[in-house]
Amino acid sequence: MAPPGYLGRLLRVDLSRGEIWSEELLEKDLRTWVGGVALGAKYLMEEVGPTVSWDHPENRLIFTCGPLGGSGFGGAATFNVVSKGPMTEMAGSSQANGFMGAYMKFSGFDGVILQGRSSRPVYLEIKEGRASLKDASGLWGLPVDETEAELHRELGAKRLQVSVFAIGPAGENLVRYAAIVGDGGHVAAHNGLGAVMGAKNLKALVAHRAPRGFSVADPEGVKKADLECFGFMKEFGPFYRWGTGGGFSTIYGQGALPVRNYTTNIFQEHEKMNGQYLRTHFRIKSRPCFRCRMAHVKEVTVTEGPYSGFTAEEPEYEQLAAWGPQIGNTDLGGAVVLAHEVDRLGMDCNEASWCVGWAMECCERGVLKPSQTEGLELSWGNVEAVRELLGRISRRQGFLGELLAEGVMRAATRLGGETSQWAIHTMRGASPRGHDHRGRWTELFDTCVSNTSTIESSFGGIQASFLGMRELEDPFDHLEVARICARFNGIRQFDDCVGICRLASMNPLHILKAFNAVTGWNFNLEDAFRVGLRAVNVLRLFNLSHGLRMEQIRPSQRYGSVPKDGPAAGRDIMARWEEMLKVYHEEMGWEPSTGWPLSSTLERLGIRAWWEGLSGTRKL
Amino acid sequence: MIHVELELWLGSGQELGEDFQILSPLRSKTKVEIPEGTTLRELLEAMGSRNPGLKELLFEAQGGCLKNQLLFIKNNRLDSPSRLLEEALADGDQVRVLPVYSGG
Repeated sequence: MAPPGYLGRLLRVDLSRGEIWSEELLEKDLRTWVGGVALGAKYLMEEVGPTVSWDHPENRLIFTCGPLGGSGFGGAATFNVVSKGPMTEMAGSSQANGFMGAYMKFSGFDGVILQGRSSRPVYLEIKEGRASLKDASGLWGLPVDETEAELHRELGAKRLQVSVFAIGPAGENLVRYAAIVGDGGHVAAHNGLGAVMGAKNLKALVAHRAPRGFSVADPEGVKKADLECFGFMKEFGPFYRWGTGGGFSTIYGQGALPVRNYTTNIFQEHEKMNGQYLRTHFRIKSRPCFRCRMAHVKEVTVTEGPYSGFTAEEPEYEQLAAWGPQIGNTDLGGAVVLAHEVDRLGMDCNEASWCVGWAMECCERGVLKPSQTEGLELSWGNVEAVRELLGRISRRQGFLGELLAEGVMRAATRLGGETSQWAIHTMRGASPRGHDHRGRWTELFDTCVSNTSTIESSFGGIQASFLGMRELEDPFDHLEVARICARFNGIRQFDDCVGICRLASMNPLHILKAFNAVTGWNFNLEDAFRVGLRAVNVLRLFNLSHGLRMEQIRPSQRYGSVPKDGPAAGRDIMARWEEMLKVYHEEMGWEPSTGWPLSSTLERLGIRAWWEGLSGTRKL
Repeated sequence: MIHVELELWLGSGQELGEDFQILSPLRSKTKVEIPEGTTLRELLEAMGSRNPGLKELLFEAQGGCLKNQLLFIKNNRLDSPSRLLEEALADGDQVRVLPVYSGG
């Protein structure tokens, strides 16, 4: 009998053999790993060895839900994807919202692990406790939105009857930052997990809506927690009224908006590109995720400028930053168009915009020649040129399409000369989120030390006071930044275990209350941190086993440079980087100079015996 | 006496009263005349005691402390809140108040 919140079943698919089976998830394992990222990390560590490359059939693509998914808690339909990804060639963990995190459970499974490689394009359909692989030859080559529409037609399903997550041309062509996109524009974006899916010849994953087939320990408690979260979030930040784009201008005001590939922090037009402007000038329509009260996801119709009449999903903050200031564009309608384009092609908007901004800077400096851009005039703000370039990247077409499909770190290495100095990335190749983190050091540091391939302990900032901890006093104090990143680490990963969107509540205590109401397990905050830290430590062990070196735990030259203007002008995070790392490692219970988790840390987290069983003679 | 400009990027508007000019759905601004040597904390406390809308925006309902989810930028320079709050303001200073967490 599965515990409340769970089906207790994991779906297994071997795409090489076309075999499908399921296995039981035991309560003791669920209590240890909970779901989402921690459960995915455990299987990744157990099943993918250091010699397995990201595109090898033996790599695993692991979709996992959490106990909150489909439990009746508002907006709980987030799922997590873990794999060895092509950007870092190490672990990647990414989440998407929409409906899948609920529908996969309604279809009978807490998660799906895919291995092998299909000999032809297929999609996986999950329904009523069974799964089948179906021919996707007719879908291959289609962008994501058309794939979704075609699958709805093929399955005779209306929009909310099935959840579809797919890859676009970028995933099929193994673009290193290909994403998994679905349910009208939700994206598991980081570390090229869409390319892993493409390497397996898997076009899409489909799950059906059905009645809930699992119990909930305290349904009234879930309702209460849901109302509490919603009440809190309605008042917290700009999200309820303005969406994530509501933070665009305040992020600019803090010096954390990326402008023209980090060459400046001045963007006077910010109030013509923010969520407030968008929602008071363009037409919007609600398109909420599964049972979400916040309903921040909207459809938008552009009402002014050259793209007037264009309708698409409203861009989130990161899309606005990517296709506005980062590429020097000041037309909001143009940003809506490019956000839609990058989603339907199936790419991470962050990395795509770092690539495009870098290429624009290379053109401006005369390093990329017209013969290399093959007719594209890559001047700042040229939306149509960027639209064409995104298509070329997704098809690996031409010199520039092929070059940029590798991501900006590898593109700069290949182009050579000074161009590496202008590329924004971590030295592992991971893509920073859509900010200028030189004005937000917690996120810059977190992005570099993280094991997930994106942020790990922070989100937008660190809300330490929610947990009774001291807030960051000085945003530019090197050691304080390192310490708070370590001390806060774990709780956001716990969020990514339970299957909930960050916008359900920024306060981890609310999420914990909901988790306990669903499972009846009565975890305290320390238990929740411990679950999240298991994910962090297992992914760190995975990355070290797969070649992570200390010199990779740092920003690229441009990413870690000193801003010339704006509110963070003159601030130099690199001045004490090595000290920051040492302090961070100590706080995390890791060996200070190598970053290896200490035996005592693994013991405290209850995974030492598990790790030693896996690692055999590995010296800790 | 010195003159200081205070700009709130907190989405506040008419609830702040006539002293504040609404610049956009996000920003509102006021200019104040204060005695030399006044710190930013003293200024905000004095303004909050006169303006209930501002008090609700900047101060905790219980205990009356300044909310710790605020960032302060003086003369376009982001710095430690406690440092900026305790420093005496100078004539012509421009202070921006933003939320620590603001989306994205």
